[in-house]
Amino acid sequence: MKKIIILILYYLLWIIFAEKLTIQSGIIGILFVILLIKYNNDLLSDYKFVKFGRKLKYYILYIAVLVYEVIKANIQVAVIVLSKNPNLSPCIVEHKTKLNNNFYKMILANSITLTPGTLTISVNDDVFKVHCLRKSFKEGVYNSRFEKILFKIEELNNAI
Amino acid sequence: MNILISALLISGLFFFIVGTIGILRFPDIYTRAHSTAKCDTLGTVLILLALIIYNGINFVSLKILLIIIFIWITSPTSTHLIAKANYIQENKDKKL
Repeated sequence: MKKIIILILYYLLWIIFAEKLTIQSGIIGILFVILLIKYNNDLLSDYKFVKFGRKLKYYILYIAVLVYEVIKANIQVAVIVLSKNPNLSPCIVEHKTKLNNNFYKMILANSITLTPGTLTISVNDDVFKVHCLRKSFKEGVYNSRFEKILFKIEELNNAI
Repeated sequence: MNILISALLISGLFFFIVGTIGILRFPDIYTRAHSTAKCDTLGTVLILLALIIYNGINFVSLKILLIIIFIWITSPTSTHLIAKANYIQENKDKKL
């Protein structure tokens, strides 16, 4: 089941790159997709395809929240840059996360870096070191909406 | 339609200009990284969105969409690596 979903995703990617769907490109695509799945199998072993529909709902919510937060934070940082007296108070805070899965930790760290104003420096086990542009950005790290959504997805993963 | 495309392009350029001013104004490497993150996240995405709307729906637009996803994955990773390298360097100096 998992391999079929990955095969369809890879094949859609191949069609986008090939720009057309003839017999020749179709056969070459199938060959390469099967080779890719054969040699990339252990990279995907961390990821479970259970309750796909309900997880998809959370992923769409996550992307919407991410875009909203990125736009909001971008405008905040633009105001700081253009203001006459940028009251910078940079600080490094440590945040202990409840997530267990490495894949979701990676997504959370990248989302924190993607929103301007906060920047992940290092991740050790479950402690995130985050650099903040102003002390007031700390609150956004401690109770972030990203972590709540990811935690719900992980709970769905564990309760098989 | 042309007005929408121009608005997207101009706002993308605005974020690029703000990011560049930030590099020149901010004092140390972390704050400069904050400022450049803006160029990658919103500036590039707005300009590429303008290109997608200009192009209409075809395979080239889908490829541009893939570029947007790729930038959103790789940009934070590289920012994170630069910050981590600087953090390790600073702590080494403190111990010595």
